[in-house]
Amino acid sequence: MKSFVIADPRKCIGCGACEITCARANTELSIPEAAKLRAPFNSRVNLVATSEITIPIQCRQCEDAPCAKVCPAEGIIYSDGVVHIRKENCIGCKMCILACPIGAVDILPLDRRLPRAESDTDVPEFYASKCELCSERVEGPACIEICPAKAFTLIDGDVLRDTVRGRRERVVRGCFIFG
Amino acid sequence: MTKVRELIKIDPELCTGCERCKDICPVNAIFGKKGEPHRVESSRCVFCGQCVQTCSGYSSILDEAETPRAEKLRERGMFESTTEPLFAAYCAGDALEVAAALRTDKFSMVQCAPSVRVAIGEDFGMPAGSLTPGKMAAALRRIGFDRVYDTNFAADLTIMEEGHELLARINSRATLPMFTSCCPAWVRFMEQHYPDLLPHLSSCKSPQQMSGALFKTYGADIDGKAREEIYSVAVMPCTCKKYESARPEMSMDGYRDVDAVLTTRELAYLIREAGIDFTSLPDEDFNRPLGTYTGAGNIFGVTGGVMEAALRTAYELVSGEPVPDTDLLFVRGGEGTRAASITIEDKTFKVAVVAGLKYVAPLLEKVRAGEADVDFVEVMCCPSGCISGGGQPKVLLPTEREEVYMCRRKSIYSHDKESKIRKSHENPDVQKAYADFLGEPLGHTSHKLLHTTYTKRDI
Repeated sequence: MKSFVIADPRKCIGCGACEITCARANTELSIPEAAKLRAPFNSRVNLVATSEITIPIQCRQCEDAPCAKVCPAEGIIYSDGVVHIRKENCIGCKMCILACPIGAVDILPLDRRLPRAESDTDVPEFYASKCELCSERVEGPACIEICPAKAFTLIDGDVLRDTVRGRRERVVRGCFIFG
Repeated sequence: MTKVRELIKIDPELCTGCERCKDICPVNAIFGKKGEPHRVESSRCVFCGQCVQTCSGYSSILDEAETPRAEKLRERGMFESTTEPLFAAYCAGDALEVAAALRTDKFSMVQCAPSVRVAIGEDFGMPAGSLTPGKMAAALRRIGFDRVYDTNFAADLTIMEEGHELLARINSRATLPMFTSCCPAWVRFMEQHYPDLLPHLSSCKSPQQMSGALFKTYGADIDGKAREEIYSVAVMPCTCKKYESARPEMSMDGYRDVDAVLTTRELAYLIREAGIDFTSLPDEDFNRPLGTYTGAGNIFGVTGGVMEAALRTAYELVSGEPVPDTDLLFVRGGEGTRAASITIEDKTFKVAVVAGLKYVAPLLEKVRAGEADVDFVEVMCCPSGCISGGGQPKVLLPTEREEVYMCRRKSIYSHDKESKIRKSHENPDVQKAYADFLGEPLGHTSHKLLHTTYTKRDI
């Protein structure tokens, strides 16, 4: 089962620190280098702030991902437990954005001023982008680490199992009360 | 009462009401309900800009806010070419005004605070704390300043004046403890909340205002200019310095001593707008005499620095001997309050250093009750002193903040360590200024140009 990160809207204070750290974590550039190149500030988590609720939205790493299904260019694949975007295959058709039921995919500009690795030469100007759980980051997802309100949780198989088990036990105890 | 300029603002279209600015504000000047846009009450605000540094509510380049970006940039006093993300809390800047003034035929003089040279490189991709006084001087010349002077000169001058003032107070058993008066946010806080303790504040103007007063007198004479021909600019790590420069007592004959203040970030905008590649600039010197400085003047940028610089000079004034070790490590430190004492001949001086305005109240209550056992206190509003000021390059991630401040602090101290002259009273151009123009510390001319008064202010 694929893990995913989700935020608790009751805890979220809407500060936006997750967006900043996400943008930072998903570029090879340090903040000073990015500042020097005037690199675009691309976050893969999107804070929704309304007067009623604030919550960051990010990819749920669907088991049968609609974005992957709809991609005509094999640009979205399952790799190491995450739904992964192959930038080099992305043709920018935006079907994944339309298919995603929670709005977790964005199409982001790739900055032409950035120094590029040779293998990157075929990357288009815009490409699809979404949370991939900071899979190359040793410390794990950056948003979980930075959040001052501790609103994020990494949900993996164990967490799901424990949650379900707890709920079932509560139901059983409830049965005794009525019995 | 004239209304203060609303320097620190929160853009209601970008604010998400996360309240982190409210938590960091040392004077409870930010109002609003959780989850709703907040606002800054300027009459309470001390303009330290710590909320600006904390705010992470930003406008992405993909978002279209109600107000177009170009208009937001104009409101913030930023060039249209600026590409950085805009955050909800901001300081209304003066870069556009300074750029316009530099195109006139006024004779322009500029000064830079010590903390600017250890931080401005960060805005051009250099590592945190990169020490770039030479590049900064070169950039200012290329932007069009006729004289590139330095606030550090006036920091040395402050030590001369403040050191003599302290010793005079001790000898005449006048009001003690004496508090430093370099930090304008701290001075404003005293005027608002502890008006009864104002006699404890040193009457010395801040280094910025001492420089400004000298630019249009001594400096103008050197270049054969009249007061009204000079345009005087200060580059500061601080947002409150804009407020300080506009105080009515900081002008003479209707001309302000400092016409405009730029923050470190605004100077970076100007450099970028001028198309200057900062990182490849050569190192250039500041102009003499008002740009000559010692290591002591430079450490004003960190908490404990004013105290250390003052003690280096006071030791010698009292004992006639140089201080045994120039590095007075016992006054150095970080956020919070610390106390120390130093024995000079048979006298023991008790000193205290406060970094962070929110820590100062207990000490002030003691002073009010007559129970404070201390002679001299340095207070800086910002957590690590001026290097962490509200006008410095923004550290985007709170987790990196301490590390960045540490790099800037190290850089300030290494610049001091490598200076040939490390005591304010040994600054040859300060000595010359006294000989040629000022007379003596606390003398008539000094009193007129370098000292000021304070008034109670309503909140």
